[in-house]
Amino acid sequence: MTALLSVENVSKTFSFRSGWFGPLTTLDALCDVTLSVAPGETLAVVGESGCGKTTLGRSIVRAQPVTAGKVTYRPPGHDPVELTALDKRAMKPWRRDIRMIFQDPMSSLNPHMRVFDIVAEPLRIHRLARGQELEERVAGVLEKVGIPRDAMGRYPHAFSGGQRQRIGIARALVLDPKLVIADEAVSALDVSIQAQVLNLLEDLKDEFGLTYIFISHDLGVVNYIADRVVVMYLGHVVENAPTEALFERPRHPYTEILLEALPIADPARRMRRAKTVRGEIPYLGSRPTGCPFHTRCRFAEDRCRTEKPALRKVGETEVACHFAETLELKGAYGDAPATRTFAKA
Amino acid sequence: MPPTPMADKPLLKIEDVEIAFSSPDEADIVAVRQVDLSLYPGKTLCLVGESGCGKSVTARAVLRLNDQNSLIRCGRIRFSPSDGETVDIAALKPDSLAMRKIRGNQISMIFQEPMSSLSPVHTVGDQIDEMIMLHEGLKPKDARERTVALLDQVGVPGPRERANSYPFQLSGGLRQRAMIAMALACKPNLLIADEPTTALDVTTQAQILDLLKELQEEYGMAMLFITHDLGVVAEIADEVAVMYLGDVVEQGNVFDVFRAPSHPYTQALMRSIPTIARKKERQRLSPIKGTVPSAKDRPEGCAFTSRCPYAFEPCAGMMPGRTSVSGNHVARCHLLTENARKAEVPA
Amino acid sequence: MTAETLPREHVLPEAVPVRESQAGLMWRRFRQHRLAVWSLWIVAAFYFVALFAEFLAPFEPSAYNPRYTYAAPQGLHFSYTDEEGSWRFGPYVYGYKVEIDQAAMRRTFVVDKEVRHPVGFFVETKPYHLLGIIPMNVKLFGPTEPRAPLYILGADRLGRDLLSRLIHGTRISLSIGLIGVVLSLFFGVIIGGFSGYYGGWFDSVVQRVIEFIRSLPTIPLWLGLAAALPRDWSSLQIYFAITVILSLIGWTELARVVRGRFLALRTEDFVTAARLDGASDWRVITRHMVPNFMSHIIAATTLAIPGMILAETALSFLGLGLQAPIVSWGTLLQEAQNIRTLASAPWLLLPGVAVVVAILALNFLGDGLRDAADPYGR
Repeated sequence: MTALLSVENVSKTFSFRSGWFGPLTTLDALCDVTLSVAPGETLAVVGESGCGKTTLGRSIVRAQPVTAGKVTYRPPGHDPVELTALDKRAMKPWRRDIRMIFQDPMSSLNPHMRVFDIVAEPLRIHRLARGQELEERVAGVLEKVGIPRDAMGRYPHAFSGGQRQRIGIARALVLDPKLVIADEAVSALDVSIQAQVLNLLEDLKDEFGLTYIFISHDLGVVNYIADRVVVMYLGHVVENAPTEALFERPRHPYTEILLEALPIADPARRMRRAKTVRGEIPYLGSRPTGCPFHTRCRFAEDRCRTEKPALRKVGETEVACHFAETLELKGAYGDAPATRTFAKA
Repeated sequence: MPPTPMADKPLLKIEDVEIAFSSPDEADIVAVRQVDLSLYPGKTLCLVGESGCGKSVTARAVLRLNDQNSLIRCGRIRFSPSDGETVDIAALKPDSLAMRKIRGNQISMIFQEPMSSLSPVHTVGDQIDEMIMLHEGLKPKDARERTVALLDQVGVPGPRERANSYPFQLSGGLRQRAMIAMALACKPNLLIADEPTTALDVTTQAQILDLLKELQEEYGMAMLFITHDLGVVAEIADEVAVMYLGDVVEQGNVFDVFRAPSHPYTQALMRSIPTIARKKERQRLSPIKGTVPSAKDRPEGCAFTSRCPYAFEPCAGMMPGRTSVSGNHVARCHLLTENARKAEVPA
Repeated sequence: MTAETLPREHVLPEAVPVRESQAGLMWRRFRQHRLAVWSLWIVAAFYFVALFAEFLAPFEPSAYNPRYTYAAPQGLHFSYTDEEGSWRFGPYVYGYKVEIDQAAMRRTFVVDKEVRHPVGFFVETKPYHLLGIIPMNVKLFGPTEPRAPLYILGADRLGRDLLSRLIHGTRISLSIGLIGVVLSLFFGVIIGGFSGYYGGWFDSVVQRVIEFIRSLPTIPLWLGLAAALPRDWSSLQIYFAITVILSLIGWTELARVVRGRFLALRTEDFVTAARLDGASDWRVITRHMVPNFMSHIIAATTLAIPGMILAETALSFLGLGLQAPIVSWGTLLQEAQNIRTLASAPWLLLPGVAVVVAILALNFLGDGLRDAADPYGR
């Protein structure tokens, strides 16, 4: 199947000067990132802070220009479009297809606008509806996300965090998009609310035929919602695999420590941890040479310090590690019962 | 793991505490009601719950750190260090000499954001030195040696050099380690940790949790650990207390509570976290309906009534009592007493 | 799209609480600031006076009467007992009698309690135009007997009524503050807005220019600019020239506020969201950014008015700002420049009191607005 969106060799470098005549500092937020997402797929991008996952999302939606590489969108029934080559005006029609959901439900809604105007704005900008039709479409999408019609006249501060996130989702969906990029869309929510929103996202995906790029640091959520997972570290893609394969048998040592660090809500599984997690993420400005992960890797050899591994196929997985074939890494699926059944109290 | 021997004297015993916040133009808001908790020396008690459940208010009350407009309306907070007399912290004035002696001397606290409790204009080393000099009366030189040893112990690489760094020069993980070193400087009997790993990345979180467990073993201190993450609870707790909107709805040994959660809220909470499972075993999440009501709208009875799938007639009007499930595992739910009664009838 | 396809669980069971709009929240926050509420009334009263100066002032500001130079304040009285000993009600002022100060060999006017001149409300006078347009021939109050002296706050060197001059001066001084600030706001919002929204080299240049302007000592700069004004300009031209001079410096502060808000808002998610909707820059600025800092601008503007008023007062006091016959608080204070005048006619300092009260009230009002501007701040 052809990809709905593909990212090829994208790099993004931020450079800034301290003062007018200060030295120029550069930060490589993305290094040669390549990935693609198939129609109907949920692709998760995971990693710790500073790994470039948010920059990747913002680069795809053209919130900022990329330094190198290209992002290609293949709308169904249309020739492929190279988004990175488009100017602002040419990009505008494609903004209907590619939408974003933000992390912080408090800052992503304009406090001075009523919910109706917030959700209606994309329709107004693209001149897709007006008057009665506009109202019906806004009310319809709000009902889909569970916001009652009579709440449309309220201001965002009248809503709880979970409700605001639903409004943000409605705003993304009101244009009938093809691809939705959710940047930590459930991270700021309490667990019970997070579950509501995750279920909602799943149902909306089926109903609207959406494709998701789900950016998250929470592997539990990712395992639940994603079909495929891309693991990023210091701006590099280190592993790209179907969810089950990745959790069953990670191929990159970094994926292994991410899985191992994940706290599992079951005290019976607490003893299994073999303290392999060590070191901290290096500062982006002082990126190690060779494999970006070698400073924390327990398998690192001289080769890793000098030669940067390329992303290559091992089984179902794409991985950037010199020893991917030989390493026996531990997955996260234990033997403990995976589903919970409680006697009704 | 053997159940906590009940014969042991608890280090901290919170009895029937109710905390209210007053505001100039509204009625008082009761943040926490009828809280009973016991913490034994060398053990970890986790307070877990969603935002606004009162877990932080409860923990801060132990150090009397809540805002000026808060009031411990009733109840006792008995603190019994092995080397001292039992004091009722609830009866002390927040800024009294006795309270100041307890704070930072016998009870230390670490926070979610270390930057808020470390001074930005002093080096990390100077701040720890000061604590040590204050509590142990050491000379500056000896204090610095202790500081370096402490920083080394909490896993700060190059402790002697790092002692001369300012907090903003350290990464989030190192800052949290420095704050832990500071909290340990006076060898506290009790460490209160308020979401200490929430702002950290998962790998750093795992390291900090491991570190806290090691240090607890070495220092033999008790820990009151506040978190919203059931995964972290499962990782670190001996005992757990689940809070919802100001009530402790269920408490007990962590293994018992996770194996057989007995309060509908605990059950629902556990069903709403995604499990790490293969696709074919994965279940759709069953979230709790609705949102947490405001404390003003809390019913007289069980706080969870409005969202509980099993709520029945006595729930809203009457606060359910503590019902023992097994050992020290108790839950506050009318269903438990109802079932018990039903079970008795046929027999 | 129908809601039936959606599983019931997604429908929020609880009602969304009704809350007031943001403006309502701000107003409530503002009302908690008691001093600011009082100041609001005082400022409103000042501007009311400025607006209806011709109607409120009993005389023209330039109406003089050499018979009553430096006449002392009469005060306004409301009740007296007449010759028959019965109690009468009605506003009046006492008359004057001339005394010769033997030491100074000078005539002075002292209030003569034997003579009463009644004061009437809505008295007819010679026709004038309210605000220069509405023809009227009634004043709020004035002497009912023609040619009777009425100097409630005293008279100046030429026997002009200080109260009338103060009322007319209020109009000029307050309007100079307002117009100057509006001009500053115009420059400040446009330059600061571009600077903050687009950033880059333009921002750097604008910031350096602002720093340069702010580093200039203001009084000599004003003096230099004011002295450069052609002597033959009419007083109206001078008036506008002075406002422009004041706002040439005043815009920098507002530009900084605007730029700061733009920089802060530019990274807000809702602004990014609007840009990702494909909204034009104009829409992003007018719909999303401006409403979110409007309240800050209003507060900053209110706080800038006192500076303008003080600057005008200072310039006019030094004789370099407005010139007679224009009456402003500054030109009125010019009368009180020498110590001899002050010793014999201290009431000439009353415009100074007006300046202090107006400046304080505007500052308190600005503080209150600034606190209320961010209702979610605390």
